[in-house]
Amino acid sequence: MMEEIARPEKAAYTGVGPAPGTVAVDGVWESFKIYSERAEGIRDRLFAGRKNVAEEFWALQGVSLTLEPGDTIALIGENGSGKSTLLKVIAGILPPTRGTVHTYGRTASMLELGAGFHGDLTGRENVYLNGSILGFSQSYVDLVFDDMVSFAGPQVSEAIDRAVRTYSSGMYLRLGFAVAVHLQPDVLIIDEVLAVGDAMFQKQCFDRIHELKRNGVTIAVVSHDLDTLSSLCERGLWLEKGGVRHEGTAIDVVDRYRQHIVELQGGGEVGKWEGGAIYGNGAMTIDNVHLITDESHDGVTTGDRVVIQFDVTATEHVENPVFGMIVRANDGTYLYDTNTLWRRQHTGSFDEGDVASVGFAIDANLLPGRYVCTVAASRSDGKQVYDWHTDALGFDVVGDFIANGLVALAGEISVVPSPVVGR
Amino acid sequence: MSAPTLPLPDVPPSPVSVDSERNGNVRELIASKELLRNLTIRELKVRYKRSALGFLWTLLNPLMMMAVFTAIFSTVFKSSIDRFWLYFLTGYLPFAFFQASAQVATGSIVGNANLVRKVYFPRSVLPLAVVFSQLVHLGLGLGVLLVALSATGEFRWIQYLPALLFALVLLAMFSTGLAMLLAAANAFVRDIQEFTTVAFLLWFYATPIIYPLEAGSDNPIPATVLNAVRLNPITQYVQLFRSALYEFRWPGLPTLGAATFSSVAMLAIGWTVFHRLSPRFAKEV
Repeated sequence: MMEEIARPEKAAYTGVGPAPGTVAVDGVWESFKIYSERAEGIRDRLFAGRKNVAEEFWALQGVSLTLEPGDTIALIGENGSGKSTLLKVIAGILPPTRGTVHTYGRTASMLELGAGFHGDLTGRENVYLNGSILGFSQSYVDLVFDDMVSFAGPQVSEAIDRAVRTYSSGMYLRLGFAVAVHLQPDVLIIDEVLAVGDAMFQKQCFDRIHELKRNGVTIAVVSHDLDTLSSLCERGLWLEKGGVRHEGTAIDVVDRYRQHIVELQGGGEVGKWEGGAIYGNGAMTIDNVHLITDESHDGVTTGDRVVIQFDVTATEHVENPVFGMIVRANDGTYLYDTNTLWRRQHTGSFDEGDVASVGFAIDANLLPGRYVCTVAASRSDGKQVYDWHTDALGFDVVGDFIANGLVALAGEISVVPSPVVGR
Repeated sequence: MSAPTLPLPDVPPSPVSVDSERNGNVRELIASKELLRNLTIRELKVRYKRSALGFLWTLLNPLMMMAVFTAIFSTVFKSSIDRFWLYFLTGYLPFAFFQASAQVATGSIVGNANLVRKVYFPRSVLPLAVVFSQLVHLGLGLGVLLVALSATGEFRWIQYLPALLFALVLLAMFSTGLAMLLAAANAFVRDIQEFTTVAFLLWFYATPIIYPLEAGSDNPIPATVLNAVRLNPITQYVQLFRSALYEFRWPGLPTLGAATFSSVAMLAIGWTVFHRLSPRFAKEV
């Protein structure tokens, strides 16, 4: 069931000063003290020689950034580049060591789902508590409570009056996410919390975040999933060692960042795709992802039937695993997503060491351009990922099909003279 | 299916955009009163969540302590104190509130590290929620005490209720100040938590809960020690509680003055130190 997402009218802002949703980060430096051995007791604090107590580490080095209401920005960079620190500075968790940060309006941070849930309290009690921790009133939570619970799914709504201690980790995350996305802040801060739950729930979450975006919420996101970032965000900021390396549109920044990664790894072969995130619990592993093309000619031409094929190896006994794949355009636009669960295709039983070859045949009714494929294997209910390869495969579609857009809906064009009446 | 409900903002869009106040001032705290209330309720609910008697423990605990001490002091030590049970409870209840507030609050920042690192909210609500939940426990304890007094035919306390309420406010202010001070310090130096256990044991004996404050032939405590005990701010609060519920007379101005001074000073120190240190909590816990 696809719920209709409520969209409150955003009143036109006619006030004084920056509009709610504005964020102004000006010349921010943030230092951390690194203790060689974490000194937390009195003895360490008092007696440790000054020189070895703390080493100063500047996580942010003069970052400036202005967000207008409704802006969506992706923060990109390697681990330790300062992107999470910048989010925390915007959220007000870390006051800047130097420089200033101003956020106007209400800010909600999604840095951890269900932060502040207490195991001994019921789901309902935790929802209200979490709401007030994020800065929303009881009466506001009252308004969105039903939507929130139905968003979290039937399992959670049945258990809403039980202690969350009894919830499965999936239910816990669903409820945490539902709370976070149903409160409508002026500024929303998201750190690596988008990949929760099964594919269906993820889709639900993305729809909701897109909805918030359309409602004019200012969003700042950190994620390792570059495709997600470029489809969700308009703007991009690439941080390197605490400074801004590049700023521009999200697509541009993601491209440059990808290129940089390829260069770092010694230059990619032409045509070899530098894949995205790989994760999963490893009960099955995927390798040898490749494309089988029409043998009559080289490459892929619009309309060809091609097969995306990969090998799976079970490292333990698994029953009826789900295999899936996603095709995206190079800019991250989500084009096609299918799997054996949705297609009701039984995949059989695998023992440790069993290998199989999985092939997804598709009709590449795609206009010339670059496309990328994500492949995955997961548990029979789709809720636990065995192995997920984001953008494991990239391919170019060539041809002389002249049209704009992404898909070749083909068909002929007819021009038939009409009988003219009353000449 | 009914029409989807619109989640409307609880406040009309303000004509002036507000720069998030993250300075930890009083206004920010007042704006967070619902959070404070919810955290207080969490403290209360969670404490007895998995015990069979639940909230009854709030009442049973001081009653059992009273029974133990009354038994010891009426048989072993033969205390000369008149109505020892009442003398004990009027000292023990305020002290227990003070101790629990300060001790539980000490761990409130470190114990909620997950929240402190991930969400911004005025940090002072964490120790304050502890103090408020303890205030509920103290209120219940005092309620039972008043019922017990009335049951013995004693109704003079009614007249002194204003003095009792004033004493409560002063004690709560002092406890809040110390709770904030310890909570903040513990975020940086974890030894505080260990240290408080011994400190409060000493503090218990440095407060006239089980012995009289007046020197005399029947008081085993030397006068010099009693003079030191008088300097203990909690002694002043206990005296205020006793004048309303044990001696049934208005407290003397010197006691009132000293207690007010201690309360204001402690709250000012705790509040200032806490807000000086709170911006660094997220990095330290």
